[in-house]
Amino acid sequence: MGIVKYIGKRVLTLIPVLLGITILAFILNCMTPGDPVEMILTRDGDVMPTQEQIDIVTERLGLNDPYPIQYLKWLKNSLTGEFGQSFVTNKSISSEMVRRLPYTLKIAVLAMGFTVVMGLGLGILMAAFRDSWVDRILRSLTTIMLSIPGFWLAILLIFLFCEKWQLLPSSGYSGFASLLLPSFSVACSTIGVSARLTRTSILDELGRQYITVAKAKGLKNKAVVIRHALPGALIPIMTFLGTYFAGILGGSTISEMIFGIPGIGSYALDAVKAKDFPVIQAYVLYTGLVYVAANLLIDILYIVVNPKIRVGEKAE
Amino acid sequence: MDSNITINGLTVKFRTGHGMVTAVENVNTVFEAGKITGLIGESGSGKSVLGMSILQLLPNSAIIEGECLYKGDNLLRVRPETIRSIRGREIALIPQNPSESLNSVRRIKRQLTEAVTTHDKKKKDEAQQRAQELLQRFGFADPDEIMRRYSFQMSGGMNQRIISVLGLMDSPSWIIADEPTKGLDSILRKQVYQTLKDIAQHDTASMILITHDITLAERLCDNILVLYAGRVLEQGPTAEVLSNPQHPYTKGLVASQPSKGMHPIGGVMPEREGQMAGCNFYPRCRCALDQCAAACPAEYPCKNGSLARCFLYDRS
Repeated sequence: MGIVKYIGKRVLTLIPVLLGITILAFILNCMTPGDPVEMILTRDGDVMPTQEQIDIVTERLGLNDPYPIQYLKWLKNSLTGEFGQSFVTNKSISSEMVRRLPYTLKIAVLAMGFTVVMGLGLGILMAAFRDSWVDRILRSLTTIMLSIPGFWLAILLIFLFCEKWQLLPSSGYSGFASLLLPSFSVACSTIGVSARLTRTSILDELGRQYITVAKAKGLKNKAVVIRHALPGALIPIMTFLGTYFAGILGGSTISEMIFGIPGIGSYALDAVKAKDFPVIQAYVLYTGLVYVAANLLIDILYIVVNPKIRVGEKAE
Repeated sequence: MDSNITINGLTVKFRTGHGMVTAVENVNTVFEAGKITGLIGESGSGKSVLGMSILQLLPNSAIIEGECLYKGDNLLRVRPETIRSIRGREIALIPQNPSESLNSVRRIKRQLTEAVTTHDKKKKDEAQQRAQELLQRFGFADPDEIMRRYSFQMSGGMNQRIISVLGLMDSPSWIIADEPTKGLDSILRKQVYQTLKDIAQHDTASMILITHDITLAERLCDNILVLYAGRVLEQGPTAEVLSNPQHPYTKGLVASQPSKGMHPIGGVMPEREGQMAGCNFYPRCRCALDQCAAACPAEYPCKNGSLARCFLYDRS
C-alpha cells in the first residue's frame, strides 16, 4: 500500500536526524568551557576540592573514557530515559521533566487551540470579505497581534486582568484559569501570522478555475470558501502550525517565567542561568525529539488532507 | 415567459494596474432558446468575458454596464440569491480547462451531486442517480468507481466528459460551453463535438458555445457572433456568416482557416487601454474608408440577413 510505504519512508529519514540531534546535544557538553567536575565540587563557592574528591567524581561521571565511549554510554542511558542528575539539585532530571511536562503540555495545547480557532477563523473571515471593511479592520488587528512581543503582552495582560480587573491569577498554577493568560500571550503573534497565512492561502485557492466552476453550480459563498477553497488552503497552514506546536511544546520559556508556571521552559531557563549542563543537554534532546515527532505527525496529516499522497498521483 | 437571453448594450471594463481595459463593448444580441449560438473570435476578443458575465461570474474588478434579460430578470443586476438559483439550474456552465475545473482534493461524486443538492437539500438520492445515469451515458462503464475518484486520477479526456456531466446535473434550460476544445488533440475534439451534439439532441438545444474553433462552430451552431477586440463585428445565421461573410474581418478569419488555405490577416489585435474612436479593425482592414478611423460603425443589416459593424453596409 502507498500509505504504509509513505510513512515508512518518513520514519527512515527521521533516524539520521535523531542521531544528529543526540550527537549535537552530546557535543554541547564536551565543548562547554569549564570542567564539570570542578563546577560540581565548587558550587558552594568557598571549599577547594581535594584531588581525591575530583578523582571520585570524575570516575563517577565516566569522564575518563574517550568521547565516543562517553557518547555511547550517554546515548544508552538517554534512550532508556535516564538523563542523569542535575548539577545543582542532584535530583533525577527525567523525573523532574516528567513532573513539569504536564504544565507545558497544557499551555501548549491551549495556545494551539487559540491559534487554530482564532487564526483560521479570522483568516477565513478576511478571505470571505476580501477588501471590505471587515477585511481591513482584521488585517490591521492581525498586524498588531503579530508585532506585539510576547513578554510585553504578558505584562499588559497581568496589568489588566490581574491588577485592574482582578479576574485571573497572575502567578503560579492553580487550575485552568492560570493557563489562560500564559497561553494567550504565547499564541497571540502566531494567531496573527496564521490568520494572514490562512487569508492568502484561501485567496490563492479562490483565484482558481475550480472555484468559478463551483460558483457556476449555484453554491453559496460560504460553501465555496469552506468546502472548496479551505481543504486545499489547509496544506500550507498545517505545516506552519505543526512547527509552531513543536516550538511551544519545548516550553514557552518567557511566558512560563513571567507567569511563574513550573513547566519545561522555566526548567531550561534556570538550567541555562546555573550552567546546569546535564539539564540543558536533556532539554536539547527533548525539544529535538518533539520537533521530529511533530514533523512526522504533519507528514501523516498530509495523508488526510492531500488525496494525491493517499491514492497516488496516477492518470490512466 | 421569454426564455431567450437578450443582451442590450453590454459593456464590461476591468480595473487594472494600468487603468481601465475594455473587454466587451456595446454588445446587442439575442441568444435564441432552442438554438446553438457560437461566440467566435481570437484569444482576448472578449468572448469568454461575455459568456461569464451572463452568470455574474466575472471577478470583482469588472465594471458591467447594460442589461442581460432572461425570463423578465436583468441577470446583471439581480440579487445574489436570485443569480445563485439560476446558476446550474437554469443556465449551467461547461467550463474550459477540464482538469483545472475540478477540485483536486475532493472526490468526483460530491462535486457532481452538490450541483443539485445546493438547490434542494432533499434531492441527495436523485442527484446520485442522475450522476450515475449521466456518467454512463457519457461512456463510463462503472460510474460508482468514477465517482470515488479524484480528478488527478483521470485523463484529460475523462475530465472533459466529467465536466460535461457536471453542467447537465440539474437539467438546465441553457448551457454555456466555454472553449470546450481548447488545447485538445483532434481525437478529443471529435469526442467533445459528439458530446455537445448529444447534449443538444437529448438535453437542451439552448446553448452558447464560446470557441476559437471555427470548424466546431460551423458544425454545431445555428447562429454565430464574431467578436473582435471586444466588439461584435458580425452576427447572423451560421451558414451565412461563415460561407458568405460580410465584414472584412470575418472574411479574413474564414480565409485564415487551414481548410481555406490558411491566409493570415496582417497585423495584430490592438491593445484595449482606452477605447478606440473608430472601428477597431480599421488598422488591419483592407477596405478601410476615411470615416472608419473617425467613428465606430453601427451594426448595419446586410442583404443576407447578417448584421455587420462596418460602414460598407451603411445604406443611409
